[in-house]
Parts: sequence; structure tokens; C-alpha cells
Amino acid sequence: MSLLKDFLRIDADRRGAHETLRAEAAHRRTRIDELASESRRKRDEIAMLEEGLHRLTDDVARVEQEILDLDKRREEHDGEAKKRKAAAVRSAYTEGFRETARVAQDFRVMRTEFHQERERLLAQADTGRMMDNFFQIETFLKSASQPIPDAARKALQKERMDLVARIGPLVAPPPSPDAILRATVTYSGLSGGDEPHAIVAFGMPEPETPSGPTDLVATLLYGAYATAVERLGPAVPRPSFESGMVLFDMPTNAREPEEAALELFLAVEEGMKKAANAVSVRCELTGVFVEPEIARDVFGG
Amino acid sequence: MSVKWIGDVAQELDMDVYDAIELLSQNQSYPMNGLLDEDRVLLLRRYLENRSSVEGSGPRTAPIIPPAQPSPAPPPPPHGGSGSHPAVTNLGSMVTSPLPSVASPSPAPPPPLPVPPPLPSDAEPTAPRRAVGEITSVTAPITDKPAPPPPPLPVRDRSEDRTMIMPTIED
Repeated sequence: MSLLKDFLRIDADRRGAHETLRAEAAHRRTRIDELASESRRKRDEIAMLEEGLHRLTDDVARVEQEILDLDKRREEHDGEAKKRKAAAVRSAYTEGFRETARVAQDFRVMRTEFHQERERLLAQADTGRMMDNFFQIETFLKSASQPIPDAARKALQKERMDLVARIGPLVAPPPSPDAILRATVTYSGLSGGDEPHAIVAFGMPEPETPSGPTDLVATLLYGAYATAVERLGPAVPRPSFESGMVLFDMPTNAREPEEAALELFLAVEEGMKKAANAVSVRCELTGVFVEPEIARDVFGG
Repeated sequence: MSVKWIGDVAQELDMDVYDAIELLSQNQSYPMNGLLDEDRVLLLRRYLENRSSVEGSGPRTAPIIPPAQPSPAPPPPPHGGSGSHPAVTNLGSMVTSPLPSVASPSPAPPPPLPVPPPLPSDAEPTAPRRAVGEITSVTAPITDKPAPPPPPLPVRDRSEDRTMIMPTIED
């Protein structure tokens, strides 16, 4: 009997132990399933991250390529801007050439006709007498030493008007065109090469050979050179002509090229304005500093 | 007073027009309309005459000076030698003066001649040119009385504003 009891108790303990172990095993399987699920999720996340990383790598490569393209386009734009600026400078020279030539032609025609009329008047017999009368009347009218009666003044003024109508070109200042001479004068300092240079250039035709008093171009050019010599001394180079433009090219002698170019430009500009004013031609000059790269392109190094 | 175009004047004087402009500009005498009055033409002509006489006189050499007797070195000046040495001054005046009496060792001294004032020792060829005929010029003739000062050049007159008879224009 006791043996049966023992057997029953042992079986009960075995079943209890089996139940406990089964529960533990089930728990472990559940844990394994959770870990497997976690691993799959992590693997998916890693896959997503790798995919994102690949995408980011592609994006970086694409952006780098875009940067290279932008650099290339910037260089192209710089080159194009340089070419356009050089073309604009040449265009300004061409425009100045055309404008100066037009005004100079008008000036030449007017002055030549004026001088021809003077010659014609001088060839007449009574011209000298009329001129004497005119200047005597002028002197008398301007004299403040003695009062002139109104009637006499009117008569003298009428006589003066008649004389002006007959010998006007001999007593009047020579005519000048009404047009305004507009030109662009550029200046630049070139520091490359053997020696720094200051360059001043503008569009203008060459003076006639030989030049004459009716040559406006020669008058302006000579005035510019004279003022440059006055200001900067005899070291100022003589102007040279190159495809429709006048070029003052001066070595700077250890000075800053831009500073020397500015001084040369101011002298040339002042001389041209003074010369234009001396022959009663209205003149508007625009000074523009040209970057050395552009100047090198325009003036050929 | 007649006026002439600077190009015509330069052609008459057989000089480059820019040379003429440069000369007048250095004398502050260039008229901005390019028309030269008689004074300016005369200035150019005198400049050319001076230049041709300088070139025609041949290379200028220092006059022959008898070798100086060796003498002991002079004591140093007490105040550091301020001022030029008299011997140097005399040599400079001999070089720049056309007087032959200083250089020739003739026994009889020539009669005294008016000596032009010596050039300043720091005179350089790049100094601004003075009026032609100035007594300090190397080639100025020696006369009994000092050369009269040149007539003052007219300042820039506005020739266009004045009435003047133009010469015939040849086109």
C-alpha cells in the first residue's frame, strides 16, 4: 500500500515538474519569438538606414556635381562678362570715334567756309575801311570816358549792325557746331609684364596729315598732350593710334599703376576739355576705369 | 598780330609737332586752340637755334687744367664741411662758362670780360627751360651788358574770342 502511495506521489511530482517545465519552455519560446521579431524589426530598420544612407550618398554626389557645374558656369559667366565688357569698351571707342568724326566734320566744314568767306571779304577793296570803321565804332561805343547822346548811339549801333552784316566773318568769332562732342575716356593700370603701365584711351580718328586749324581732332589731341606734359612732365608718351582709338601708354616708374593712370586720365581729360572750350565746341567726357583684365584683353596685353 | 597753326609752324621749323607742343607746354605757353602768335613762334625759333648751336659746337669737353701740385690734404672743416668747396665751385664755373681765360695758361691775362653769373651747382638738364637768351644759358653770347630779360610771354589768351585775320588755309 505504501508502495502505491509512493508511486502516486512520485507520479504527481513528475506531472507537477513536467507542468512547470512546460510552462518554462513555453515562456522561453515566447521569448525566442519576441527576440526573433525584434531582430527582424532591427534588420528592417538597418535596411532602411542603409537605403537612406545610399540615398544620401547619391544626393551628396549629385550636389557635388551640381557644385562643379555651378563653378563651371560661373567661370563661363566670368569669361562671358569679360568678353562683354571688352566688347562694350570697344563699342564705346567706336561710338566715340563716330561721334568725334561727325562733330569734327561739321567743325571742318563750318570753319573752312568761314575762312573762305573771310578770304573773299579780305580780297574786296573796301574791306579794310569797313573794318576800321567797325573797330572805331566798337571802341567808341564801349568807351566810358564821354557820354554819347542816344541818337548818336543809335546811329552808331545801326552802322555797326550794317557793317556786321557786310563783314561779319572778319569781326565775329568763328562758328562752331551746336552738337555736343560726347566721348568715353577709359583709364587703366596694368601691373603685369615687364613694367607697370598706365593707359588712357578713347575713340577718335587720326588727325589729318598735315593738320590744320580746322582739324578739331588735332586740336583736341594736341591740347590733351600739352596738358599732360604740363602736369606730368616730358615723360608723357605721345599718343598712338590703334584701330580707331587713341592710346596714351605711360610707364609708371615704380608708382601704383592705378594712381598713375588716374593722373594721366585727369590730365588728358582736362586738356581735351580746355581745347574743346578754346574752339567753342561743347564737350562731355565720361571717364571710366577699366579693370586690368579687361584692359589687357582690349589692348592686347 | 597774325597767328599760325602749330602744325604749320612745326613744318616751317622742320620739327615734329609734338616736339613743339612739348616745348611750349613746358613753358606753360601752349595755346589750347593750337594757334600760335608771333611770340610763341619766336620762342620755338629761338629754341631751335639754341639747340642747333649746342649740337653744332661739338662734344663739350672740360677745359685743360694744369695738373695741380700735390699738396697736403687740407684740414677738415671745423663745422663738418658745410657749404661747397671753393675749388669745386671754380671748376663748375669754368665748365659752364665760355671764357677761355680761365683754361688757357697764357701769360698775359685777357681784359676782364663780363662773366655771366654761374649756374647753380644743382642745375639739371631736366630743370624747366627758361626763356631763350637768358644770361644763364651756356650758349648765350657774351656782351658788355647783360642780356635784357625776355619779354613776358602772354598767358593763354582766348584767341578765338578775339578778332584776327587768319592766313590762307590750304586744304
